[in-house]
Amino acid sequence: MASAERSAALVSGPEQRLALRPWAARKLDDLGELQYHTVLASVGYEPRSSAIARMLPRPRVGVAVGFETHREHAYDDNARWYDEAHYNVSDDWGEAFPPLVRRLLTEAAQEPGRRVAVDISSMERPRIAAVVHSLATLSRQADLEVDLLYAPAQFRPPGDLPSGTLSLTCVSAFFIGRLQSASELADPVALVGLGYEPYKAAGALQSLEVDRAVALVPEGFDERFLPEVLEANKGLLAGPDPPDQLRYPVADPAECVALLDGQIHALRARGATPLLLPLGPKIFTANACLAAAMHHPHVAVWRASFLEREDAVPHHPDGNVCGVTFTRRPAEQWDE
Amino acid sequence: MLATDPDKGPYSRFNARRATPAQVATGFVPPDEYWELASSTDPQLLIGPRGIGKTTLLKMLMTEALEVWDHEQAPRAHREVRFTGAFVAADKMWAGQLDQLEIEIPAEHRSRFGVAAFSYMALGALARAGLARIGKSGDEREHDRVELSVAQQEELAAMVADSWHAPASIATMSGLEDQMGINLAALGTLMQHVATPGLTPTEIKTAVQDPLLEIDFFTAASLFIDLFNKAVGQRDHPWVILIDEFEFLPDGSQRQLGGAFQGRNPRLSFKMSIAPYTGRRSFAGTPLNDWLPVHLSRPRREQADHFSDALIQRQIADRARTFGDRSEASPTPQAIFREGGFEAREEDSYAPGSENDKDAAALAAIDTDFKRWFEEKIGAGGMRGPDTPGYNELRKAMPLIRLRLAYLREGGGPGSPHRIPELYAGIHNIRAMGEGNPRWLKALTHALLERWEGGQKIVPRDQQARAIQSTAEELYNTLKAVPIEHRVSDTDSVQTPAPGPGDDRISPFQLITRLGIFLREQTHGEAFRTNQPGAFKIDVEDPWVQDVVHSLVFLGALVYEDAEGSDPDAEAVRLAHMWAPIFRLLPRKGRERSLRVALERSAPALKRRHSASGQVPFPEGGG
Repeated sequence: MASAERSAALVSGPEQRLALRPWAARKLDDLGELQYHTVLASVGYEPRSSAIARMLPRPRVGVAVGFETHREHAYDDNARWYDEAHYNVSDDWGEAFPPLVRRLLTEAAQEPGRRVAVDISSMERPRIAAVVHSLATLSRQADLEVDLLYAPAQFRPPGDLPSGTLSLTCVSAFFIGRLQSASELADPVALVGLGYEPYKAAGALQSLEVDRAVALVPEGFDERFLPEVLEANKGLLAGPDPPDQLRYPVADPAECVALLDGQIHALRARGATPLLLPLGPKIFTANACLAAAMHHPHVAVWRASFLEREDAVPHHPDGNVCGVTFTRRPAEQWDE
Repeated sequence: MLATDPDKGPYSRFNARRATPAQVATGFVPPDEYWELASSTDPQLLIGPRGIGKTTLLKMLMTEALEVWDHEQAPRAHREVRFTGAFVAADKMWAGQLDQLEIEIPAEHRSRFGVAAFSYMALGALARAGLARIGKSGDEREHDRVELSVAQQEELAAMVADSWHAPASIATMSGLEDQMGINLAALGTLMQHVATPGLTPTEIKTAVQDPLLEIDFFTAASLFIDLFNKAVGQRDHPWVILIDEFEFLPDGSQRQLGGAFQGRNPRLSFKMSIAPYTGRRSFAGTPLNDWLPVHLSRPRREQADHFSDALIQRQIADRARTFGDRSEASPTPQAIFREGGFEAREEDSYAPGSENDKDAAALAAIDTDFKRWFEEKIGAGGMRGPDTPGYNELRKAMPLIRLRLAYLREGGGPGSPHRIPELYAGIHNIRAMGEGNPRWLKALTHALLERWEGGQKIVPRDQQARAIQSTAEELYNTLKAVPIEHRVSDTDSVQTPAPGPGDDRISPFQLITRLGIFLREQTHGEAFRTNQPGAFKIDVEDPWVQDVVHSLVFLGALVYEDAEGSDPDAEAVRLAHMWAPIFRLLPRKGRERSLRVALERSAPALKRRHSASGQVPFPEGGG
């Protein structure tokens, strides 16, 4: 077990114009003190998909993107609330989502000092990847601070995993890693974020045929999550070739990104090929994409999901919010 | 082909695809199929399931491997391999990268990107193969070495530079190889650019005019080969591109290799490894240039057992060291685990009062179907010795008798939960359930040796049973979340299907469960039969089910069997013996049945046991 030093929680990318810094976790009720020019959120079926936006002061630009499927549970309530709060309730899902994010961020970056919040709580993984992709490839003139925010779900015991057919793909084209000859691929090592879906990590790792794995174990706000995560992955963690384990605090994504960054540096220095497989809380997907973006194009981010439609679980927020601040400054300011 | 050292050879703990040729060559023992590949420059398809050693065989055709192979058969290989082999690998990870890029690239441009990616990969391999032959030192193990001066290399590199998209300043063979890696990476960047959200059609049109996409592999490779051959005075020397896991190549390259490239240059040929199920009709070749199939079968039982024992022995030694035991000779697997519970007993006696006689009598007392069978075969007078009618049939039935007895004694029918009986303990069962699969063997042995106290002590049979149960359940449950490789059509490359409506399609876990339940009903059902089914002829037409079956073979959960009957294209599979304790089966082969019928018949049985949640239930003992 290891834990990253808090002092290491400021990391920067190779261009030295991309920096992250911690965003102090707080209660949902305390979000009223923050002011954002732009807020990007989701209209989902979970009550938590509007929890952050409801507590933030009204932004100048608010966009909430819906989903084509799973319009159940709290979906209509959320859509209604966003509409009444003067958010643009958008149907730019799927292929239309990445251009929307790019446009929003580019417009927000037109004037220095604007702050943007992106609530990833109800975003699916490709959306999170699209957000990080856009952040990482903003123009050299961009001057922007973006808080990626996450409202953890209330604890509920994991159900038995129905059998399914796993779909294993890269999360997006930006995160495929460096294209190289498969025969030259050196020692692939998976940095896998564990969730509490039994056997999912084991099944995915088995299929990827990696040489070694490092398991990132989330320590959530609610202590009940950890034993469930360990139980769900006990076969993997106790196997004949168990992965190394690293614990990361869900409350401090910047620290987690620093941890991943350190692992990636170490693996690359040894000639290995790191790849990221984010299961578990959504914020880990954001962390993984941010870490991979810093090492672009050398690190792939994979996605494991079931082909069969998964049950829509109406997660409620547990009252906490965590996040990480992404800062992009114009090139000349970094050069000074 | 099996090596006895579990760290060496094709069944070793390392992945042959990423091993150096020297690593692959260490401990390599050639099977017959190797000589089929080595002695011919014809286009060949090496067909065999995962883990069978296809990659190793292809790599052992490379100069670098031949030169370090230390084996009595090595001189023969030097004589028979009369070509230069260039090894090109594709795999799940590489295909996943390309798949994702292609999804986000406009459809009309995808094929060109995929073909270019393969081309740079294969040209790099060609340069490497050429490089491996340069320089003679007089070592007797050298294979087809040639002299190519620096000036000649410079000249060759300059002449191919244009068609290889390399700078004219590239002056060496290694420079050419490196440049192909750079081109491949640049192609990836170009693909990512074209996949950028919001790019205008004009921007895309400009991007796809990049010269990197103007690559003609066949012309570029032929030019290199002809120039190289000419420079070293071997005008007719053949070169063979050795393509591993062909099914993972992009569609466009598959089509070219499947037909268009064949026979155009007698000095350039291809050998490709594929999984048995991969759209064979696509690879028929052209009328005068057929692909010749080379089927790589599973190793014989004795070979697999030999390998399994060596691997288990290694783990015993490792475990012994944790007890501070540094002695040279750790106990054998046989000494620690003893005989398998289904093996013939030492006394092998069926005389009145013998263990076998007691078991048969005990079963007859509680199993009316067996009693009927016994009386029919042996007669009411019971077993008196080898001359008694039905002696051989009873002998053959003893494993099944013990199995039914063990479960009926537990007090439950097929539906009752229980721990698996000690019958599944013993080295014979451990070997059978390990299936010669290093990963499974390691998992089994790891769990078993946790219950070993070191020295000459045995692992008690009840403890063995528990270790086997936990390992089998863990591996079985892992099937709940595995991908399958699905072809939309015969001409498609293998890919993971995109998420979509598929709720009614059978999952890998469901398929194993349904076959297991079918066999369990046959084994423990009302009729006592000695000729139990154990294999399934793949007679389903549904491509999805076929692909689930073949993906399960890829994962080791199903095992190919030689199909009964005269149809050479028929395929049959059996459940891996690892699932025997899950479904209360004998870890043995059985007669063949129809897969279609088995799936149909097991559906109602499965439905009866559906849990309230509607999820597929664990069979008893499965979790």
